Amino acid sequence: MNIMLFAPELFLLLGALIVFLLSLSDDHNSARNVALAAGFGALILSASGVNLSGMMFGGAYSVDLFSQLFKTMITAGMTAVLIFGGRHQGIEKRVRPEYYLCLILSTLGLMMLVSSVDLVAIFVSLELSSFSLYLMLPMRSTEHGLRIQMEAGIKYMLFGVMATGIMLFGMSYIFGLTGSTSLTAITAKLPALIHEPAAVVGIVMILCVFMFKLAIFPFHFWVSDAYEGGANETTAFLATVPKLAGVAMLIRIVNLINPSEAIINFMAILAVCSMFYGNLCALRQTDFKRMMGFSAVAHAGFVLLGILTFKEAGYATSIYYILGYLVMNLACFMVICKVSKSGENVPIAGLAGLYKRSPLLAFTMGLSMFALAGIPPFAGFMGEFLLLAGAMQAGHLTVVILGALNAAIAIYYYLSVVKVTYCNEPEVDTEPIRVDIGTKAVSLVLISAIIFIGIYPAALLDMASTALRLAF
Amino acid sequence: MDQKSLMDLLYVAAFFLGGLGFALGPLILANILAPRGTRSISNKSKQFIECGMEPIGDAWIRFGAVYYLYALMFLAFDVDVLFLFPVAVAYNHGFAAYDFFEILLFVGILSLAIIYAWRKGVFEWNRRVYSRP
Repeated sequence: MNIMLFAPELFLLLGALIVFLLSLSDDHNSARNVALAAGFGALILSASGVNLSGMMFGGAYSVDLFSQLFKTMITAGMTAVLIFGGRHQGIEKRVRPEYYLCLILSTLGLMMLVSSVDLVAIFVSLELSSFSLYLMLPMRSTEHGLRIQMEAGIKYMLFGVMATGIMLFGMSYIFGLTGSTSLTAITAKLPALIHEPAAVVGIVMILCVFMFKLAIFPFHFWVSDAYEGGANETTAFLATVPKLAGVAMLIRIVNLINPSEAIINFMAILAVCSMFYGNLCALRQTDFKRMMGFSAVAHAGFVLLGILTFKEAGYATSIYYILGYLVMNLACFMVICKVSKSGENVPIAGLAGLYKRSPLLAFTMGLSMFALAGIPPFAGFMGEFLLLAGAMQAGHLTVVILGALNAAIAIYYYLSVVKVTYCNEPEVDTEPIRVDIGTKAVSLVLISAIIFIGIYPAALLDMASTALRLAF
Repeated sequence: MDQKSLMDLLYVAAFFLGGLGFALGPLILANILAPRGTRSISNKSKQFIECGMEPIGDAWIRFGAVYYLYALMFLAFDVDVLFLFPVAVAYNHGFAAYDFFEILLFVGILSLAIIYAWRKGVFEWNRRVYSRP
């Protein structure tokens, strides 16, 4: 067994152990530095090991370009969240080391999830990441008399446990039909069984939990409350990093089966419902994070467009799109973390006059909103265009028309944020916002990533296609 | 419909009826066997329903929640012991240093939970006072 295959995960584990020991003492400051070091180390290790491949743990854990690509994105997301979170003022002071511990463990779970090729391994790593997230939500500071985080936490947990239960039920069907928990063995046996209703139901039930992670239409109920109730830093993590693993696992599970009319129609309906529901609800929101929650529902619908083509090109576009989504969302949540003075929620109106208070933050916000709205030449436009073009080629004309309609609806609420940021005068707060050097660096990286991903998609798409070809 | 699928359907129906019987049976039995009318005859229709016992006092009191963390710790280790049983069985077939190290690691990481709870004062038997706003 090559230890380098597992090095990023081991490094994070080591970091988690040290943060745990620090949580025993009263030293609250060094925990963040250790978490940051663990994040950086894991990022470097997974980026340098991107071409490794091999199987571990008795064939339950596959390391290949597909998983390493996602691991690099996941660790990069976690590190970015840690940097711009600053001293994490939104988190209860008493539990900050525990917060970092949960953050590391959640990232670790997601990294293990994208490598898992066994139903039991998938379940264990999914639960590791989910339970840490359930704990992170209510750790928001109660200093300002905020109580919504408790509601958000319990809602997220109840919905999450429910989705996990549905997944386990589906897994039991698949195990019963194929007699194995290993995905390779299942891939060999399942195509012959796909006309059995039990197989279709089983696969759809397994998909449920990843649709829950992505907040696709009937599993979206938690998303607006959890986004609003979580501290800004927690929401920044929740809104970005788990989505990556969700897409990776959707592709892995969907890849088990041959496309059948029933599953394609099912996914197409969910995609269209998510887009309409998300976009129409987002139009009326006044809280920024709540709006982003509904926007996440709409974007999840778009991601599903790539998956329902059941083709490698479609999967590659989905990976490309979710990478762009990660970067765009990190950028706008970074601005929210910085604008919020002591960890309170930021209404959209609170962004008024940001261009005077901090030109860099205003530019980042404006750019990420343009990108999310799908304006060329940024990441969001290219992703949406490729997804719609792919679905068109696969012959889903109705879905494409409805999707394009939704892209138009979305422009309104994204651009009204830009309008508030640049055209409205500040009402209460006028003093400039101080931005530390780390955040400046992150924002420059994110800005250049949004532009680069948008104008040069070929490199990433090729990489994603190669990864898919190697993995499946 | 051929013979086999008909039989399958019959099995499903039989199990369904069996399950239904298990759910409804106790209700019907309770309805038949329960002593009738005692509560209203003895003027107790407003009394809280306990498991056949005479309730003492009001149910609206403040319960001490001190014990629940302690109970959670116990529960966690109770489940962990379950994982140790297979190991105990495997040890019958000779001592393996590698496996011993693995199980030591497993139990070691689990005991960190105790240290954490200890450090955070879970085992101190104090009545916690919460200030309510």
